Amino acid sequence: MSSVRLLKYASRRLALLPVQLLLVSLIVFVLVRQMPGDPTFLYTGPFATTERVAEVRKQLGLDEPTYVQYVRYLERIAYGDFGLSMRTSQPVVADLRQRLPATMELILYAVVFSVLIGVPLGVYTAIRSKGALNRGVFVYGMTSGALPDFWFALVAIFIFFYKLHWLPGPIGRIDLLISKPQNISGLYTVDALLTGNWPALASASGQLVLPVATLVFIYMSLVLKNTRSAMEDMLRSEFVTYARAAGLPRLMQWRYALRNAMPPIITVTGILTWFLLGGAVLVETVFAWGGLGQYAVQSVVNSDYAALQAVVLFSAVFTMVIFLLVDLAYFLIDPRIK
Amino acid sequence: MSSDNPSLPATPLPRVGQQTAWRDFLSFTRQRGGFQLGLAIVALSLGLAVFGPHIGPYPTETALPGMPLQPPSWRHWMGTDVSNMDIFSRVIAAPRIDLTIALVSTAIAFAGGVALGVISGFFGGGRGVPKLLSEGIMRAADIIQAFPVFIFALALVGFRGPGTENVIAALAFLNIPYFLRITRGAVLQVRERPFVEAQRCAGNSEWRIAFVHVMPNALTPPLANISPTIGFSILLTSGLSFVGAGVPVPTPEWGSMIAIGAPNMMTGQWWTALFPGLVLGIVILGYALVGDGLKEFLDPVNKR
Amino acid sequence: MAPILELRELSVSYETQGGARAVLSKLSLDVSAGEALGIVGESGSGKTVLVRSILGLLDPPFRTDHGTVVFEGRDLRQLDEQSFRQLRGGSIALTTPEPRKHLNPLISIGRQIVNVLRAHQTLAEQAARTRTIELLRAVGIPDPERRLAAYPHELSGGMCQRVIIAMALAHQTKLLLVDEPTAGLDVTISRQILDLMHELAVSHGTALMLVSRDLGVVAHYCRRVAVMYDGRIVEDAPVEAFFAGPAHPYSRQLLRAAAASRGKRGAEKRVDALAEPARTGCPFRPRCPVAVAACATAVPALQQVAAGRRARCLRAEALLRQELAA
Repeated sequence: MSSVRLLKYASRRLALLPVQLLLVSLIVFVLVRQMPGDPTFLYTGPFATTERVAEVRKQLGLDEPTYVQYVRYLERIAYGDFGLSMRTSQPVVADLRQRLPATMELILYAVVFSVLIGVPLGVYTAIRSKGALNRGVFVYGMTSGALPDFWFALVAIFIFFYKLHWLPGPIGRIDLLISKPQNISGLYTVDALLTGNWPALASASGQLVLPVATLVFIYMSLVLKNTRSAMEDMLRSEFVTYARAAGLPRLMQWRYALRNAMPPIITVTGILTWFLLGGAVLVETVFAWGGLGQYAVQSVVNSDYAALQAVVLFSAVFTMVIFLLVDLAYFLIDPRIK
Repeated sequence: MSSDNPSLPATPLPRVGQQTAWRDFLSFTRQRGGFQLGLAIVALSLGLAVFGPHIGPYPTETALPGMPLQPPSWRHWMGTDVSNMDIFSRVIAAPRIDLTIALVSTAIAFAGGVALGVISGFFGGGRGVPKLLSEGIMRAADIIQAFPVFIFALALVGFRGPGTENVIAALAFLNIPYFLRITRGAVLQVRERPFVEAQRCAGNSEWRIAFVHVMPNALTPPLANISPTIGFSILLTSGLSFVGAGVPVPTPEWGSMIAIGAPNMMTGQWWTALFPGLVLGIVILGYALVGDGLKEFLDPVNKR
Repeated sequence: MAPILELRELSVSYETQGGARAVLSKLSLDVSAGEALGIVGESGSGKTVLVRSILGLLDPPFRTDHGTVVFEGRDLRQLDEQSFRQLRGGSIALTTPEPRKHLNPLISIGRQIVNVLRAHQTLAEQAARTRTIELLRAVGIPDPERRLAAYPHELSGGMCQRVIIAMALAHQTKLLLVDEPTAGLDVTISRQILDLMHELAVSHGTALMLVSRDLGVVAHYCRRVAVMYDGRIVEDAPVEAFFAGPAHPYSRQLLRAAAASRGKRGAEKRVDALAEPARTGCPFRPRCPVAVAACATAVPALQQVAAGRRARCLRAEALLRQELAA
């Protein structure tokens, strides 16, 4: 019964995706045209003859009207052709495929821990609105939003790597002397676990601690604050008051409140995931993570436009998928959504 | 007919009792330590933006003679960096560029966002060309906000090349949808007030009503959001500079100073990145505190 | 009959930035077992706060400063949370205005009623389900087996009110607090609901405390009426005597307002724009047509003015003798 309902809703919601994609691709197309100078010279060099320039322009399709160029561009990305990266001399798609799992692993753990810590803490501080923990959480909420994540990462490296030697240094996802686990999902921890490769698991987990802790510390307050305020609203709601008047135990009242606070909590988890894709850029750079974020930075610094364009397009698609999942979760929780 | 017609109900600008409003503000401020701290930080940062580059004990863009990477001492309060530049002098000079970028981009975003917000809010739900315009604005905002903020900022600067103007342009562009939504929300409420209908009866054109009569009454929410947006823009600027896509070295800028110090953090010269980041964090906290305080002060629910 | 509920000098205040404001001032009131008492008064007179304070549901900024709430010989204010919880929804139950808002929107009504049942007794899942169906049938919800799975948004306001009543009467309820039963429902539906509630209360021997702005409802379902103004009981009388001739000028105004809006009930007569209660002397003085100089000196006591009736007015006896044209 409800699975039919879900399928119907999901298919309606999915039908929106192509339209959104088209608009996003248009933005990226316009963005690429913002580049200073004529991209032809990137291929011909600055001293080419007029004939040679015209020839390359024709090859690149730059002599055609803009809308034709846009359609061509759409055709190419439909076939997954994002061109060659000028920096790595590889197809951009291959580059992305290689780097994506690194970023996903980072974001995944950051989201999971933010939710596992932020939600209970938010619920607790909503229920007990006084006390030292509450004041601590307030100060944390204020400061974590103001601190730059890349700076926090550096300070953490200084303390835990340089001073205390508790954790490995910022040398990427795994110790250089340990061989990578066999590639299954691309997430080193998962693959190492699946193949029983304990040294790789230990090393990959150790490398994850600081970047994940940085992201969790800086961005968890988003989850914490929203959980607390949603929970506070719900605890004050008429139906929780009535549940109390009907003699329901405390725990049940809190469950009523939490269930109704779930939609905002899910939304903020989606927003967090979306934000982390951007936040990961800087943290990846600090930890030499070799993921999508670092790839984006290197393409900007090296004017690798094909690569940059693909990253931007991917990040938008990622965003859409995240918010699609948020909508579906909403739908499962709230029977009022048609 | 002129809108100055005295028989019309006056546009309820919050002009009545400006002195009372000021006194309210003072007593509100007196009760709130966090807000006071924020105001002090903001004032200090603005002062440094003006005088910062001139009051430091050492030059801000040239290496000093002698050994680099000196730890903090009476001579160099925050130590020196890898090129033996005095970190303290550079840290207090940095607000010049960071605040210029943040203030100018926020001002542009505010102007653009408010104008578009008034159009999309006032004409939304109408018909004809203005309605299409309103819908178009909202869809465009949706799409801009579909990109993760930092990646989009990076891409904008990436395609246009680094440099102060491009960072300003990127941040302004990114923040427009934010002001747009806030303004639109306020306009949707204001346009239902009776004085709007009165102005309509008086024969004012829709555009005139939207911008002369509705806009001034919908400015409170976007105004209250200026301060946190400035803080956020400083954070983004420093992030862009950190990865080399923002303000180029050797201009004193917090993010690029942290980038310069980053390798030294791993070899124990903690002062190189610690101080610029700490000051950066404090300044952003200051703007956030001011934003929170203003929101609370201007929120009619809390005013009672 | 012995009172089941005795309120003695109950004082509740509301904390604001400018200091505490009294919401209930030394309010004393008895409810006898099985009786139906109506509480009337304009909005802001403290009726809802009274109901909530009996159940111990007031949260900051509300604060109970003083007084006792004795239910079946126990002072509820001294009760620990656990024992109080067992009373709530058990011996003392509440129905509310705007019933849909008071039901959890994300849980089926069947589950919500089961939760209430299980809060007070150990019941197996199947037994709880059977009992829930019985309850739904008892409150006149058609096809109760199917309605178990319904969510509040799928039911009409009247149906939601019936669900609330089912919860309120799920146990051996001794006292049912009925807060504004007609708010948000149309006349026919609210009549049906009130009839049902009254019928169930009578058959269970449940005492009713019916809070309403609607004098007609109170006249129809209650034996006794208490009038509240500015957090105090200003009159307390048997219903027949009250409607024959009230002993407080405020009661008179309420009756007159009700008469004026008779025939168009639902269009509530708003009396909110009237003068604020006085801070010294009789609070009603600014609105009182029969006030005298003595009214400014102190708050009048709630005094016996006739057999079984009390009033808080210096001129009550004159009013009763119909000497004053208030």
